Formats: sequence, C-alpha cells, structure tokens
Amino acid sequence: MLICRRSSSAFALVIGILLPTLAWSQIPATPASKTKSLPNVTSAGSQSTTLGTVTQQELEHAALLQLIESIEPYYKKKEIKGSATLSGSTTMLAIGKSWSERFRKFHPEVSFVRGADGTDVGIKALAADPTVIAGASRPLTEEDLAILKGSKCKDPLSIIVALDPLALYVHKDNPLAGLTPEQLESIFRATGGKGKHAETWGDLGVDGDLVSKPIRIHSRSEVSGTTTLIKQLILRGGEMTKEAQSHRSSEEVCAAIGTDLAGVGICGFGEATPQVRPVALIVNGVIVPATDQSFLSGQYPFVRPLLLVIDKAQMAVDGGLREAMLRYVLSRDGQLEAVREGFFPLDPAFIRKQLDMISGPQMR
Amino acid sequence: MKLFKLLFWGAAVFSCPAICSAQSFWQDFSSAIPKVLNPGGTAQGFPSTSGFSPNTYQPGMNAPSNVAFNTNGFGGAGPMLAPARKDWKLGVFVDNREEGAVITQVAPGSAGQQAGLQPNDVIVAVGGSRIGSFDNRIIELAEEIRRNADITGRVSLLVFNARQRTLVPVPVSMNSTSTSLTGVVAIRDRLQLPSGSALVVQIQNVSNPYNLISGGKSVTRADGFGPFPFELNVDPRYIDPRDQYQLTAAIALGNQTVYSLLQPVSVNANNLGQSLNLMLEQTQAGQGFGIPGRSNQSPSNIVSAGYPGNFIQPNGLNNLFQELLNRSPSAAEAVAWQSYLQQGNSINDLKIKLMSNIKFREKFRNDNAYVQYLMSVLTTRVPDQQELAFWTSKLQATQSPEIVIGEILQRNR
Repeated sequence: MLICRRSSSAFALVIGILLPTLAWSQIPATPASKTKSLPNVTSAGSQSTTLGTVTQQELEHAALLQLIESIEPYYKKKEIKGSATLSGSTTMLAIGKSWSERFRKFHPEVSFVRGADGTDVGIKALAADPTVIAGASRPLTEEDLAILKGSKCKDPLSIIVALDPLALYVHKDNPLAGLTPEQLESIFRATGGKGKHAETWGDLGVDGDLVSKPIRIHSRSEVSGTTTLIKQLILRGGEMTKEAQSHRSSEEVCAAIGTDLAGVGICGFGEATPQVRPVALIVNGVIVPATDQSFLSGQYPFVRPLLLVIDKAQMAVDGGLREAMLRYVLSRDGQLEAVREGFFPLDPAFIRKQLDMISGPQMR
Repeated sequence: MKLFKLLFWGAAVFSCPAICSAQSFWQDFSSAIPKVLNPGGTAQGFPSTSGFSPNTYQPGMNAPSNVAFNTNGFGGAGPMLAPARKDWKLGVFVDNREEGAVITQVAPGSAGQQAGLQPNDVIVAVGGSRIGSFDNRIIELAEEIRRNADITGRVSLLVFNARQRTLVPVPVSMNSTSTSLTGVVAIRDRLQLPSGSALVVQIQNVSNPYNLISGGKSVTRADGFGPFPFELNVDPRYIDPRDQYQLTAAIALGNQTVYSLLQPVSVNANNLGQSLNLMLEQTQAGQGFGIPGRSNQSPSNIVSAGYPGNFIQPNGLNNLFQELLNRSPSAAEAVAWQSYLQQGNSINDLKIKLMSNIKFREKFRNDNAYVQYLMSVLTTRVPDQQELAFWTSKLQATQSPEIVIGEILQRNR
C-alpha cells in the first residue's frame, strides 16, 4: 500500500500480476540482519513527547476528535421494521452486537438474529440465503466472489465498515524488536515449501534464553478470516504451517501468547493485553512501529478491513433495513462504537464514497 | 504514462476479470485509512485559514490563547473550537478520480448550473486545494467546499472545462440547505472572561436524546466581556416535527463549566430559524475563576462538567482502564468514550460497558469467576451457590453480560 502511493509504472505491472497479494509484501527483502540495534519499541498506547505546549497524546486526541466530528451522525429517513440474520466473522461478533443494539435505539421494531460464526461460513451462508448480512474480517477473494456470483445472492455488495491494524505479538519478555516481511513469512510458512521456515527464535536473530526455543504459533482456525488473511498477506498464497495451536478467538490467541514465552501470533491492535508486545515491521529498511501513531499517519502497512457483505437485490424488498443499517454503521455513532470495541474508524471521504454506493449518488 | 496505464489495465482485464474485481477492491481500500497525523507525528490536513477564526487549533502553536490545549492552570484541555458551518450545496453529482471530481450530473437551478458547470467537467481544486482520488486518499469536494467557502457561501473553483478543454477559474455563489439558529449570549455579572474560555451552544433532541443533530453544536471563543454571538446551522434532515428539542448554552474554561443557561430554551421544528438572546449565570465551579492560577477542581479525579453531557478527566478514564483492563486507553478510545458520556451516559454506565467487554471477561478463569466478580462489585454481598448458578446460567444463555448486569442491579435495588 505504501509503495502503491508512488508506484512507478513497472512496479504497478508487478502488482497487477502477482495477485492476490498486498502491496507491502512485495517490498524487496532487506538482508536478514540481527535486530539488536533497534531503538526501544514502545508498547501499544500513545507515546508522550512534547511539542511545545502540546503533548503527542493531546495531538492525537485533537486529530481524532476532528476526524470523528467530520463524520456525519445518523438520521432516520423513515420508520423501519423487519429482521435480518448477522453471520460470519468472530472478530466482528462484539461490534456486530453493539451495532445491532444501538441501531435498535433508532428503529426499535427491527430485530437481528445471530447466525453461524467464521468469515468463510458467513460468506457461504449469504450464498445460500440472500437475506443474511455477512461479516468478513478480510477482503473478499476471487473464490468468495465466485461462490457469491454463482449463488442465490444475486448482487453482492461489500462495504468496509471499520479498520483493524494487525501486528505480530510476542510475549512481553521476548526481546524481538522488528521483522522484515521475509522473516514474517518464514515464521508462518509450511516446511518443505520454497524458502526457509524459521524453527527457533535464534533463526529470527533473537539472543538470550530463547535462542534455541522453538517458535510456537498461536492462531485461529481454518475458517477464520484472520487465517485466510495471513495466507493471503504474509504467505502470498502459500501454505501455512500445520504446527500451530488453534484458538477460538483472537482474544484467546493474545491471552495464550501472554502465558507462553516462546509464543507468537497475529492479533489486532485493540486486542493487546499488557502481557504481550507488538513487533515493529521493517519496511525497506525503515522501522515502522506497531502503534496508533504510525497507523494514523498512513505508514503502517499491515491493516485489514472489516466488511459487511449483503445482497444488494435485497435492498429493494427489505423496507430500507439494509440501507439504514449500513448508513448507521458508517455514521459518527457507528464509527465511535467501532473505536470502543478496539477498531479504527474510516476516513470520512471514503465513508462518503461508500454512502454513494449504498444510498445512491449524493448531491454535493 | 496514460497510454501505459491503459495497456496495463487492458491487459489485466483480459487476463483475469474475476481477479480484477478483487484487485480494484484491494487498491480502493488504502484510501479508507484515515491519515490524520503526519509521519513526524504532527497533525495533518488542518485546513487553510480562510473562513476560520484565528484561534483554530494549529499544530505547534504555543500561544496561550490556544483554546484547545489551555493548560495554564484552569484544569486541562477544554473543548475544541468548532463553529457550526453552513451546509453549502453546489448542486452537482460527482465521481472522484485522480484528475479531480468529474461531474456526472448538475441539479437544475443550482449554484453549479448558474456558474456554467456541465457533466464531464472536472473540478480540479476548491479554494486552491486539489480534490479527487490520488495518493491513496480521497480529498472530497463537499469537505473542501465546507472548509473554503466564505460566510456568504462564495468559493472559487478551478475547473477543467470539458468543451473548451482548458482549465478555468470558476467563482460560485452557493446556497445553504441548513436552518440558521442565531443569537447572542451575555453573562450575568460583568466579569471579563479569560482567554481560553469557550462558548458551547447546542441543540438537543429531548424526545430522543440519542439522536445527534448535524450542525447542532457550536464551540467558539468567548474571552473578554461579551456579549458573544453564536450561530447554529442545523441540517433539517435531523429535525423531526414530532420531537421536542432544547437549546443549551454554557461557557467552559478547561473542562469546567463556569457559566450556564439555568433553563434550557425549548425549541421545535416550527420555531427553529429564530434569533435568541441568552443570559448565562455563573455556576458553582465558576465562582472565583477570574483569578489566574487558582484551581477550583474537586480533589477527585473524575470531574463532571456541567455543560451538556458528562465528561471524565483523562486521569479518571486512565484509572478506570488500568483497574479493569490493565492498560491505558488509546487516543481513539479516549475520544470514543468521552463521546459516550456526552450522549448522556453516566460514568457508571461506562464502567458497566467496560466490565461487559469481552476482553475483560476473558481475564477470569471461567464464567463462574466472572459472575462472582460482577456480584461483588454490583452488590455489596457475597452471592450464595444458588445465585451464582442462576446468574451463570443466565449469562451462558443470553451471552450478554449487559443483560445480566442490568438484572443483577435491578434485583438488588
């Protein structure tokens, strides 16, 4: 994504051919080097440097406040009644519930039913029943689109509803400070495939007690959007190693790493506990820490979108339920609710673009 | 470059149509990321000064009249300056592309039509700021209009005229669709308000307090003797003729309310566009504020300011997070939870929300331990086995800590 910003034409061609991959994993590998010389990495949370009379924290606060205030609040177009099934992403379970409850404060005659869990499951549920609203914690792949287009869901529409920056987390006493994309891949890659598979922490340049300890991966199940995302983003379509401890939720992954000195796993920024530490990314020789600040300046590349996927054809027959629900989720309150659940809000101009898709083009 | 792009996309389309739809989605998504900070950490995107009061926050400004971060003894950061801007409409429908906002339709009788804009024309810049979709971000026409229009709704556009194939400056005079609610605020005693004072005027829905009103709140400078003019620019789509509304006004210094309107003014959809004169009385917190350096803060960390909604001191929120989640809130979370309180929820509600949070719940070995904790916090006694079993099974049945907490509180009232 960073590279795309000033992509030379040749690079753009490379991106076009190596699909489906995320731009940042295309970054030419920096030589594997010991990461001892990295500066202290701050744990998740704001840094506190002073800029004149204003601290970094207050600055972020002000910038975020202005961002939130430029997102429009929700307004009721009309009374709505009806029901819908919300199915899919486990990552979005809590936020889905919050959104439903708050939406019902505007429209008490609407009810929501919880469907089956798992991003892949949600997409298949939508394919089988076009009235489902599916939550996905990763972008849709060609396979997803193929499943949907050939199914009862006539006109799939996916809307990004929040952002979830992810990081590789290690136990707080693990000194690993940063990783290149190559090193990240080597952790998750299946053995026997092309390229090295990092077996022990020493393979990643970590010294001390951990040098000969095997890397223990904590991850989600196969149907999880997070798992598919790892395969897409980090492994570039390659196979993920089978030696991973599977957990039901990302919170459990984080909790497990917190009790496992040799543990490692991928979680969202908002899921971190004080027992774990995020590892910085080394992108083209530049150290990008896994902090709110680097995310809010557009520098942090490892971000996933959270989506709601619907059948657009349903919008003609649901009495306005889907249009209102999506408008609510993208409203100031909906985005604040996402923040309260540990995710990040969307850029207001991007929200407007999506509202054009949901409610039809809006006049400027 | 353009030819290459055409060839590239052409090739991509022919080789893999299904992938293309996934790919265009993927590229689109990077513009979803809000970029509010510069890589150096300073705030980004703060607009040009035209149309702004001179005290709008700018990064690095050290002047003590910087309202947003006045930390000279009056109790921390106050509300951010935010006048309620009019909703100026150009009357066009656009498609944001790299070259700018490409006009697809022009509304008849609109300011855009009067200025001669036509479909296929491209609005390249507004008030000197480039717009469109480039560099992995979208700079939106409506936002730039809002930022750059003067108080009469005039703004200068730079437009690529599709018929003449030239760039031309196009001044436009826009109409506002918002309803103006103006007035003047005076304070009862004739004290001079110190710099850092802010006037917060807000219209709220009394019938449905949940419904925020776009353009319904204004925060402006209020230092000196006054009287202080105010203007709300309400978006009529947010006003329901069946609902009752009220107008509140207060002067804030840091996070203390020093003056407020004793009785909110009742308004409804019919009498919205009016002019009001408001007299504010000094609050208890405000007594003696005029002496610099003297602190009126209560010793407790959690202070509730008197102006609309509640407020929690940053320390208070931090303590709560440390107590329940063993960490500090992120900047985004601090903003989000303050807004939760501003909607009329109490600090207790906030605590309950945090306790219901799945991350908090997972700190406990099992549901039993979690329920035991809840009972010890919410009631003042130790639950017996029967109660424990009852609430635990309720939790497992509903999967909703909020419901369980609510019922525990109700039973133990």
